[in-house]
Amino acid sequence: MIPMYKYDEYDQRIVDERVSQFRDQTLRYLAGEIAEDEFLPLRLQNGLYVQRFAPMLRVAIPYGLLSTHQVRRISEISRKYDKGYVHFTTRQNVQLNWPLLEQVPDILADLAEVEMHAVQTSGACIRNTTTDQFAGVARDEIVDPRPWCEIIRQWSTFHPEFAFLPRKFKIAVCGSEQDRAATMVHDIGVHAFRNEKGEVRFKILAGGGLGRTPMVASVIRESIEPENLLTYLDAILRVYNRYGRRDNKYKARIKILVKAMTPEVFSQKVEAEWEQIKESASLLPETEIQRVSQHFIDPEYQALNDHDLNDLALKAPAGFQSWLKQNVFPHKKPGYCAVTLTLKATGDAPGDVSAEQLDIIADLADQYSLGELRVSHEQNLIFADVEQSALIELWEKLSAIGLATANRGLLTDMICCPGGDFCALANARSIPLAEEIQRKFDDIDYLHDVGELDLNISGCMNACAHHHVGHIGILGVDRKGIEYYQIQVGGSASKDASLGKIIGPSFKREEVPSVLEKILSVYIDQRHEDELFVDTCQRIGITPFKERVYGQAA
Amino acid sequence: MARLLKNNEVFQEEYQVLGSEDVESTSGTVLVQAKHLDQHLQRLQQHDQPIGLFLDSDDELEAYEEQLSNFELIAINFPKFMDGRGYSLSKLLRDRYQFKGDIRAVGDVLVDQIFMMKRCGFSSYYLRDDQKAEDAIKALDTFTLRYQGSSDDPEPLYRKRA
Repeated sequence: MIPMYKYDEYDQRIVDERVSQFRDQTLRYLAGEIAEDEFLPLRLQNGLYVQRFAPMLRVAIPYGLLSTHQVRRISEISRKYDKGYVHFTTRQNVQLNWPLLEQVPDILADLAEVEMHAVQTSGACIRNTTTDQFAGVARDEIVDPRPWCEIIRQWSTFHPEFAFLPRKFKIAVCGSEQDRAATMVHDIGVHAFRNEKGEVRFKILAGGGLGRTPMVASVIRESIEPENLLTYLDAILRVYNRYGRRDNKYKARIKILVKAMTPEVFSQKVEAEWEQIKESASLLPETEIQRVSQHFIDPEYQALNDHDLNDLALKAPAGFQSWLKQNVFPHKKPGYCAVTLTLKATGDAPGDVSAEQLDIIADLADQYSLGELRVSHEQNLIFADVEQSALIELWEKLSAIGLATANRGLLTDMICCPGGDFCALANARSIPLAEEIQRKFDDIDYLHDVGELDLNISGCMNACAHHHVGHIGILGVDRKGIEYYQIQVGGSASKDASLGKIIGPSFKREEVPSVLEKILSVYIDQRHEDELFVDTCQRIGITPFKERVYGQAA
Repeated sequence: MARLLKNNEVFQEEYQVLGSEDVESTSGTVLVQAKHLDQHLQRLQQHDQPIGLFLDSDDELEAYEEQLSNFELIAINFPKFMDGRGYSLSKLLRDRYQFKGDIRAVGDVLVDQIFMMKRCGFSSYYLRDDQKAEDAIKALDTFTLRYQGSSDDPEPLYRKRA
């Protein structure tokens, strides 16, 4: 059994009824019975955007988990209704770039057959809940976030009170030492931990977010019990729904409300609301926690021993070693590991995968990773349960389809939005810049020497690629019709999240790769032994970078 | 005249919203804006007319707590259908203030939001003029199951699954 949530008849009926509802709405829209602006939120809450060239359908991958059965269905859909490729996003969703509006109800019906949907992947509502791509297998995990994500998914699905919030609302859950889900820049961040007695508790943060006014989330409550999690979320959402600004969409996110009220006052308001609703039928019973958790119990791992991976690398062909170092993640079970397939090969748009690749990925996941695939917010795919003894074989097969690029976590494993090539909001293109950077930095030894570095490229200030929290963040801006790029350094999306600082005036696209080279040379000159780029930035500040890039006078 | 959807049927009904202006005579159902309640209430109570309290989406419901029991009808305004505050107001009326009377959606009331309104405790709807009555009636039953507890049924699905 794959450790993922299986629908029962209730879950299935709910998504099936959703498909019928949207089919009816689409027909009424096409018949002219629903006005454009009134159809807008209905289609958005089913993941359907109208983009620069065509509609775009965003399908949810709840907290990043897919069975190979689902992967094959996505591949099938992309061939049947689209151009045979898909795009993985920064929020554990997958997008089809060219579906026809008329066919979207059929696509949703095909998805519902494999327990998938596009519910609330857009619109001013509670979006897909995201988490750590290594949930359930990471060594530093304290609490498995997956059952809690599923519980939150069900609570938020068609929540009648919160379908028309002031603005979109994103929740991320983290249950490990390291935050791999960027919870500090979400509307609500949920940190699962254990108290001194070993019981599960949640720390609740709110008011993080990027966009025009980037902010790191504040702690709203230090500890809440599992049975109270949903009523506490209800209380936060109610305060936001009633008091969040609706007069200006740029000031409508919860972060603005939290800042305006101050986190202390916001927290008091939430507490007062919660006091009134906590004793209700919505208390989460232990039986439900158990029921959902049953779906995520460990698969039957074999009793294996850890391999000496360095020894393994010696026997392997050239190229394996750097992939092993960079793309293989330790697993809680001896003899196993998790493998990242970066979707960042030079020449392909970051996050894009073809249908042919998806089919092979599904076959490989069946063969090597218990029939399951994960999606990360870095727009990569993960095989979470690979036996170490199969690593060389798997690497060879991945290399054959161009999915063994050894750049996980490195400069060229950038997070990149679709940008001006696809998105109507963008001020500048992101994908061609990503490619130019990948072409410039094509020496894998240099990349490994530079080490772990988050590069995030957003095509506009909506910050879909989270450029504020990239170690290096690039923002596309429009200056009199010409694409320019502003560069910032020193951001971080970890638990001690910080926002990057802009180094100075923006650059033309062709200048950016050599500017990055200068920035990296400052780091290489100034780093202490084993110090990561972001740590050097935070230690030395932005002045040395400014001086190198703009000359002393700047 | 407006079309009122109530108890799965659609009626023609006349209604009037009273604000700051002084009105000599009124007809049909009279809805008094909460912030101008004091101005009208005494006079209206002498007449034998149906009177309701009219809440705007930004009204601070808590300020009118004392008044609620005087009414059997409370209307909640949706100035735009995208303004979701009315859902919270209705839920507060039902769940916190135990309001047992009729809660009516007024304003930009569209077929595709009625199901959620019903879940939040609304019991009647003045449909916007261009909305089809039969679609609205059908929309009341869009989903046969719901995950969350709400004013229409406080038991979440997880209490029924066990």
